[in-house]
Amino acid sequence: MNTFTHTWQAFFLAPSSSRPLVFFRIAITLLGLSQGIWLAGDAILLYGEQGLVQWPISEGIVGAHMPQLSWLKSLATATHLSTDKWVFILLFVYLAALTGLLAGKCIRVMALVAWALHFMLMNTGFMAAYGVETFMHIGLCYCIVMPVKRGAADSAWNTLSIRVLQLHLCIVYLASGIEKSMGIQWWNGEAIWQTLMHTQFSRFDMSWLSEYPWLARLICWSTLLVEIGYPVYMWFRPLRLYGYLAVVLLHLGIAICMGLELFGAAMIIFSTAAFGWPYVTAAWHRFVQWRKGFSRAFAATSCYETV
Amino acid sequence: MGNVLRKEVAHAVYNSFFMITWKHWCWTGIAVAHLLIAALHAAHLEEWTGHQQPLIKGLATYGDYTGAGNIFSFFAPAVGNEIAVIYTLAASDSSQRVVRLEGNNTECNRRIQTIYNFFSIEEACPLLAQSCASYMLRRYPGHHVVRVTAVARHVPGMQEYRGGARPEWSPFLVKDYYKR
Repeated sequence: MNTFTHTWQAFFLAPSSSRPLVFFRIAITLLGLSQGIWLAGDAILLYGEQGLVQWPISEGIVGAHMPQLSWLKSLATATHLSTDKWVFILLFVYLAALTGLLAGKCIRVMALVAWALHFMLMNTGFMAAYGVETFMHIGLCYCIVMPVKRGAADSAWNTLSIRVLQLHLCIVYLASGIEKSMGIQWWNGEAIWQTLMHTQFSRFDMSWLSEYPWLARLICWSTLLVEIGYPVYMWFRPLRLYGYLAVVLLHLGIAICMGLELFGAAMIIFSTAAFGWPYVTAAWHRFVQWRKGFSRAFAATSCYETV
Repeated sequence: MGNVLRKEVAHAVYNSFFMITWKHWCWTGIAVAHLLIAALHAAHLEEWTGHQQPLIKGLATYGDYTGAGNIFSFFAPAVGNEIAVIYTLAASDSSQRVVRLEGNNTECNRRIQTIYNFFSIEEACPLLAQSCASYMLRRYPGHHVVRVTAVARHVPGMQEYRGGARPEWSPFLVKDYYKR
């Protein structure tokens, strides 16, 4: 076996556990269910034929070849049910498919159904979609092809799938960081100031930040460092844990300060499945050990007190 | 000597357990191609090549279906003005009401806001305003006319803010729509 083949094999195909992928499936599914339930009451406003953005407009933007809810029109006519009712039916089927995927039943079929319906909803609500839709779409597509089933033996396919997730995330963060770095606002701190002063994002009064422009600059530069540096620190083992923590903190910050909870959760799920799983399991084992030790100590104290 | 032997034995055992088959090569090739397409789209492939070439069209469609076709310009390169839309509805008895669409559902509000951001694209304004007006007239059936007012909120820079400037809302689109 030559060096190239050996390196290729070791990188992409050395057998590994499927647990990060199982976590990925469960977490992405829970995220999709939360999102679906959260938006169900406003489905007609966002996805209805006569919603805020009517179907012909979405069709004009995304193109007629893309799956979308306007394809339901003939079905609605044939069944004598309104398109609004069909929107709810499809939303229900989508949530049911996600539930099946969460339970691990007929994984590929459930993932395929959930992906297809999510894609239809995303294309129809194209103008309302933001980052969380993008990552749900990627996540559901990966759930169709990746070995995300619980209890699968260690295999090369797990490693290949995790490598795809890892490299895809490196592309995402690098591209996002480079795009930000092309704007002056990300160098002089105005980007974070402007964002936090938007009424749609501001959870707290952040006007005090104008008194500390150095802090705004520091936050912007840190964001650029976390995003552009992602492919470097995630592949350099001694830095990986710190990099992973920085990414989690960045997205927690986005979720708390800007109210982008679903987006923050999606990004943390992706990074955890791709790079952070060993640290999460290690932290969990340490917590379990600590709890056992604490329980033992507590039991010993209780016995002593009883005696 | 012992170490070398151990390594060789380990290598032989590993290889006997696991050999690359054509299936592995195929799937690894597909994975690499998929990532390459994701990287090309993230680098705005369609902007440098034009969307008309069949290969680019094919890659774009593949990207759309698999999620490998995204660009990641969240808040980049700059954060734009915030946009809000106010609807003034009038009924035939001359009564009026001013409403905003945003409610208690924060996730829905986020999406409404994302739609409103398209008002910053001049070409999209008339069509989007018409669509919003049509939705509002359907939602409030007792009214026969709606005025759509799109307003942008300009936030001054940190230095100007320290100097006393404050965020300001200013209308940039005011249009009336009648029920047919």
